Amino acid sequence: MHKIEIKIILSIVFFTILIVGLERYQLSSNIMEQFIESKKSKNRLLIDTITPIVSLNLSLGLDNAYKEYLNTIAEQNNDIEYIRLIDADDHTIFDYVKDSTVKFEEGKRSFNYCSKDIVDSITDDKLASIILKFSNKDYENMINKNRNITINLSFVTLLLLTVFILLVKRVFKHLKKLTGDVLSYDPKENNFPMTESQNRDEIALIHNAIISMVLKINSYTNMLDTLNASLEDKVKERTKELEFRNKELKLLASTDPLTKLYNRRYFTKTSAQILAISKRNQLDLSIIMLDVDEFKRVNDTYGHAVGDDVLIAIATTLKEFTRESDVICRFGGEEFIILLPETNVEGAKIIAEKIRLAIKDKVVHINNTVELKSTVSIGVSQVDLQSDKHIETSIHRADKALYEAKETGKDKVCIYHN
Amino acid sequence: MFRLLLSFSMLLSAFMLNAATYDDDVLSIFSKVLPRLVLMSNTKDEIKNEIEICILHDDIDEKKAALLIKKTNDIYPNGIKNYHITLKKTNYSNIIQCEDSKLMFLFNSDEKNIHHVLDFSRKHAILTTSYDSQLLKDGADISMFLGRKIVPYINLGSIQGKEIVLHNTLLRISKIYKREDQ
Repeated sequence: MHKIEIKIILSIVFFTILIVGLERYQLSSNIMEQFIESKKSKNRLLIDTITPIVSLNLSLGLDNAYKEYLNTIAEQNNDIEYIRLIDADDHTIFDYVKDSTVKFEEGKRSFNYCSKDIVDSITDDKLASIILKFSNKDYENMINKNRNITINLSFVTLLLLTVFILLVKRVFKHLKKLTGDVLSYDPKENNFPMTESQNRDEIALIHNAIISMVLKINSYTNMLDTLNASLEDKVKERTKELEFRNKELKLLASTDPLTKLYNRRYFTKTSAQILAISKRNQLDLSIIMLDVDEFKRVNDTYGHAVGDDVLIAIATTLKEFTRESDVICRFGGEEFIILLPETNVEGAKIIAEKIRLAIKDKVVHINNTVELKSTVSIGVSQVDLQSDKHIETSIHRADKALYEAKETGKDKVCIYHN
Repeated sequence: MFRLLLSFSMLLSAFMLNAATYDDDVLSIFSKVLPRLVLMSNTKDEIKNEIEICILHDDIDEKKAALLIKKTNDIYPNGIKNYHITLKKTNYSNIIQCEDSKLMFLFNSDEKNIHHVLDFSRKHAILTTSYDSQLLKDGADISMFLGRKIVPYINLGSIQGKEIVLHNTLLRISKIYKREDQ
């Protein structure tokens, strides 16, 4: 931008000075030329007027008459500085000098000299030649006047050019500010000055057009912001829903849909982790395994729905008598398993006994008419932290204890003993 | 002192007699001027190849007239501009000899002769010249004033009466004579 500004200013300044200079030079030359021509013409007219008189005076031998005549001519013409009359034998026969400081140049003479041969009008013989020297004062005056005009014209031209440069700089200042505003414009901050230019120039048109564009950009930015916000809300909603679904799915994958207890797969995965922790920390770990007594008869007698209610009631009881850290799981149809971290076999037996008694006392109402009670057989074992590599070994022992409880009368707790 | 008184008395008598002194300078000037006066008037249109000038004198001025002729011939031995110059001198009584002349030079004479000559010149349209400016008053055409400078005097009235036209430049260097009643 600076380059364009400088180029414009330099071009205009250069061409203006060139044109004004050339015009002035041409005009001055013409004036000088015309002046010199006019001067020559005037001088020629004067000498053409003088010569016939002098010629006649000379031819008639009226010596004093032509001298007096030439003196009169010199006095009447203020710009005559010198008159010299030279006869045919090249002798000076008359000299008029207005001022003693004036010198007569013998050699090359400028335009202020004028000479003519004086010829006898009758015989055409050359009688003499006359040389007139005219004053340079009017020429010098004209040169000075012309110089003053040139100086004044130069001054006016420079003044106009200065005004022009200021105007250009003003226009470019507006353009620079506009460019700065455009470059620093941020649609989010909406920081473009929206004051319309009141000027009628092209820059003002561009300025106002940019304002119009900025208004459109702002409008579209607002629309986009609104749309983005809406999209973000939707994404958040969808994410929340997805998280909920994931959690639900995870829960579904790890829980039993009927009893809401963990399923066998979850148990297998979690028990391995708890076993590892217990081994590392040398903490006791016990397993309670229980099975609903005569559950098939309940199903067969009252239907699967009642069987399901029984299972739900047992699950509820299990939750009531266990800790948060314990892992309760529906292991098979009517079979449940509980993993008890930091619990030895004696502690597990106590919990198992409490559970057995609580289930025994639990009543399940069938259609508000029949009250059903169930019992459970429980096998308890403690994990051998030294030898049990897998939890299945301990489960197997608990299962053996459960089997013993079933075989020895049901509704009891049996502990596996090595 | 005696010579001074004599010179003064001669000048005074000449003035009293209304007479001019024709010295050598005066004759030299006129010898140079006379043929040119003819060529500076329209009478030259009538000239073929000869300028005829008639010099009128009384007996007393005959030698002067001869000297004037001689001086003119000395100045213009071959004539002037292809024109041959013929000079005649004659007594006022033989004025008829000047009939074909283009210019007559009048030495002083009595009033009667002068008037007769001037009447004759008017009749034949001949230019008349005289050194004596008094003759301008009587009707001569051209005279010469010899002072600090030599100035031709022209009696424009008499010239115009003869329908003679003089060259413009001649008029410019001359003084126009006017009679007191004009």
